[in-house]
Amino acid sequence: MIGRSLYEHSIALARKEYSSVELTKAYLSEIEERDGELGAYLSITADKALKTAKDYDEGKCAPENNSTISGIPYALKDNICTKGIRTTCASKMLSSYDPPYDATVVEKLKRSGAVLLGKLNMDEFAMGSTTENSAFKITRNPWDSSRVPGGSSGGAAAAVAANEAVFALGSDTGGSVRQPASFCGVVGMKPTYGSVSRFGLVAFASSLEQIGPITRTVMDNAIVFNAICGKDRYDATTVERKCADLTQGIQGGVKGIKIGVPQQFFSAGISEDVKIAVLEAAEEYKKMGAELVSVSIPSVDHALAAYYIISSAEASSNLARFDGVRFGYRADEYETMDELYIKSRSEGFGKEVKRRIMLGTFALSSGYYDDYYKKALKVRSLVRADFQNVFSECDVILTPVAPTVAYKIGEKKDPLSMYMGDIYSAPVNIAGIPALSLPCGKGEGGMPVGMQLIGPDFSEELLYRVGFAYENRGKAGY
Amino acid sequence: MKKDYIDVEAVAKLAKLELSADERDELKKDMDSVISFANILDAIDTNGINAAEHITKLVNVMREDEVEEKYTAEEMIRSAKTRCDGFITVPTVVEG
Repeated sequence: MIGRSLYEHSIALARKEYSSVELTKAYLSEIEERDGELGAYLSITADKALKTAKDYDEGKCAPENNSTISGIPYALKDNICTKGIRTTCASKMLSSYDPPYDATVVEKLKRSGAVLLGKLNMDEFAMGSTTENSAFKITRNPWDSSRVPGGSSGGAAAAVAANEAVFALGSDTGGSVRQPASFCGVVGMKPTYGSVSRFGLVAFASSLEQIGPITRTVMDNAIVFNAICGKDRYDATTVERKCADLTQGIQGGVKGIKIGVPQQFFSAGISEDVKIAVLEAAEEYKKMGAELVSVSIPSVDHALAAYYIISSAEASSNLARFDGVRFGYRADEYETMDELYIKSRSEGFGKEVKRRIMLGTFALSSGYYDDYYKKALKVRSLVRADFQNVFSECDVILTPVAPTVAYKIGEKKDPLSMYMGDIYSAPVNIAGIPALSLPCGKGEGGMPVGMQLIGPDFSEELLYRVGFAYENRGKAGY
Repeated sequence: MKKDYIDVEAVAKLAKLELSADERDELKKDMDSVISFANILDAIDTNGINAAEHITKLVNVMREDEVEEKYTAEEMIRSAKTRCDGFITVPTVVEG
């Protein structure tokens, strides 16, 4: 049964081909067998999982909460708070943090009777693109164990790709769901800003990030998105709107859909294998009846610089709460209050986190605020306007997710070259719009290549439809 | 706005971080390289452009100020390293 999609598992559970307990045990034994080498999980909650699965099998899940994800085993990136289950952000700072509450997305999944298997490895505080910045361990790419799974939701993408979870939730601040999904050959969505509650997501850059699903198929992704989206009174940035069932129109095809191909996403810096795979996907769309349009997003080069200023500035502010007083790591020796703060922070944060805090503190400091932070906020307006203009010429935009396939472990050492890897994904967060990452063939070393479908605000339904058409190309009706 | 000098020590003080000499040298190099990359923003004319703190159109989102008994005080402070009688204890801040 391992390896089926969420949708297939859901049908099998409904037909009682197997029980949720059997399904959960199968995934737990897969974790036991493989995760020693893979390193996707930071904690495994086997007993709780089996209890939830048993409750589902015994019909204890209220009928009104029953949905496609009921009884399905899943896992969470370890920056999403779970009451009574350690939530570490892969940081020494939170290594023993036991949140007093569940994130809103967790509460929603709990209510539906989805089965939580455990918490997943990530770059510390979601800062990084390889999961090598975890304070605890590295995660390996299931396709080639000498390579990284991407990041920062590397554990989430690796777990789904390796059949250690049916689906996972990650968070995407500058590409942290889409890039690891691309590196591991699975599907990831960065929803429109404001469509999924961030309550209980440990904050890195609040104006940029969204929680998003990582799944094996586009259909599964739409199913999970249905389960987590919506206005939340505990997150004032969530937007009030009717959540349509995004699986409904998913089989609508792409006939007459205008797909924009921006040259800025296929120029200098992109490796040839990625370029070929994504342009071949564009040709596939043409065969299916879509129209390809050449478009231009001139501000995209500046979007990455703006991204690193804004995200670091917000990080320096958000991470000010880690002072060793109310929760998190506290230094053993201190005499004054200031020493308590300084020592706890200096000992508790890892290298990359310190680098971002420092960059952000600099960008927000007196004398530099206008030149860097405020300037970046203005550039954000320009980037958003550029995308909006393009959407008057096309319905969706097709680009690569990242310039290359997965790197070798230890390959990227210089921070700026690492940051450059976000060149195609971060502009989407700057603009606040949604983007879907899905596999489109193989590149160097047989590694998966991912393509990115970007749409205007709240166009998730269209993105799933366009993604589904590609995923099912060559099958009846496509 | 070219800044060719970042005072790492001063920034660390603001960020409440203590850096070793090695950390300081490495951070200096990394920050210089990232900030000089960010200097490409210089070339863009942003006169009259709105600074977008966020991209939603939401303004002053309010909700009813209702008391909810969602958590106990004990639950909320149980993660603090040192506690006493329902309070978090810290070093003396005010001289007695």
